[in-house]
Amino acid sequence: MHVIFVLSSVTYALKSQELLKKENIHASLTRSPAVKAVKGCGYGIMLDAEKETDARYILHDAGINILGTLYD
Amino acid sequence: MIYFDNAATGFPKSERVFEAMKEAYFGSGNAGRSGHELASAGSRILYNCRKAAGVLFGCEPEHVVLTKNATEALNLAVKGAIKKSPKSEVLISSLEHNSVLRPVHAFCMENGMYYKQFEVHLYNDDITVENFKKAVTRKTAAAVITHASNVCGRILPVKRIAEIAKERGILLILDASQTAGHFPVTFENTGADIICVPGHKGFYGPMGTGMLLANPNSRLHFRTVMEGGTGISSFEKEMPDLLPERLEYGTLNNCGFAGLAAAMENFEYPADETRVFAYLIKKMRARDDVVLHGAPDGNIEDFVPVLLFNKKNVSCEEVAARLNEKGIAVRSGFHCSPLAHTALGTQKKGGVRISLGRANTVEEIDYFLSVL
Repeated sequence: MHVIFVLSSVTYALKSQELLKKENIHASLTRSPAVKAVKGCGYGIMLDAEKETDARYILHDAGINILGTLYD
Repeated sequence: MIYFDNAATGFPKSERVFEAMKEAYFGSGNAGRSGHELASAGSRILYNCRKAAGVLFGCEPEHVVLTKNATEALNLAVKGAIKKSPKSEVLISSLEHNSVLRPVHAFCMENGMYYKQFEVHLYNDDITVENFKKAVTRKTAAAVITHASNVCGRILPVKRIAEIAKERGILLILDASQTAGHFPVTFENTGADIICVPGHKGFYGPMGTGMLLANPNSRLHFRTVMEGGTGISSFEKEMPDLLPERLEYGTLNNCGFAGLAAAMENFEYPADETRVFAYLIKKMRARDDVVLHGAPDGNIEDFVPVLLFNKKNVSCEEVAARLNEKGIAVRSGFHCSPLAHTALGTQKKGGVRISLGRANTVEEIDYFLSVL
């Protein structure tokens, strides 16, 4: 199972991907399905759902706002 | 060709920059628009450029707005970040380029605001700082200043000016067109709120690239100057709230920013420019057929390697044309800087500008002097 974090932009998605990689969490860049928070097209990162909690902490510490969460 | 016009654009560019551009040209799609491989490659190109800039200037990738040149960055900064308040003032220095003067003039005219100059003293920073301090009033909303003059190369004491600006709650926008790439320019060593730079001058990146860098500690909010597609939040009529996308509209120049990223990654600041410049100044001072304007006089460390001169009884345009015939590229005229030429007393006849770069040598200076 995967989780998708919806982020503000492709810049934040790429930054998040890079931060997680440093902590050995693989995340792939994805166009996120539309969610209310982004009102149209958006970007996100997809990662193993088991890593969700760790990833949230890492992104929170870096000041990155997760706009929505989707499960696949 | 001996190239002495590095203040216009850095030359020669490197093969590495060209290769990166070529790779982007054939291997990337529209950044931030889709999820397919080519589009993602484009997005990574832009991100890598922001990251490389962040390392040099001391900010995060998201604080780097990619623009087509420093002028666009300055327009976005002046028209987007200065608080609009009728009768308030914007300060500029006496050495500003039109890339500062014109947007500040337009912004003030449109908003019932005023702008005024403070004088830069070429040989005494204390006087420059005092002039700035005297010009500040309770109506001063912002200061937009060059880091170094594109006409005479004088570096302004920006850190000291920034300290005063900060104390007084004045937004400080820095035009680092002539300093970035010559020596480290960071938010820490300048104290600026916004730094605007070209990609193609001191960094030797491609023309058509520039950046607006926003100080992460300055809590800036930008009004937009241009609007359009961003690839995100498509149903919103407003541009996205966050940088960098808030200020980036339409398709960006992947090839240019791939080249700029290549130019900035592992960047090495030039080690020999000041020595070559000092040699040029010494030799030019020894001649009695030239007049130097605003040249260093015992304070070469306060200048980037730019020299304005005239040859006695010969127009600046003719000097430049004759030098060109002998394979030497210089720039003559007014250099888009009427304020600086007025400050230097060359507002009627202009001047010949030599601007050195990382590739110039003492041997080239000797050849130039023999031709002159």
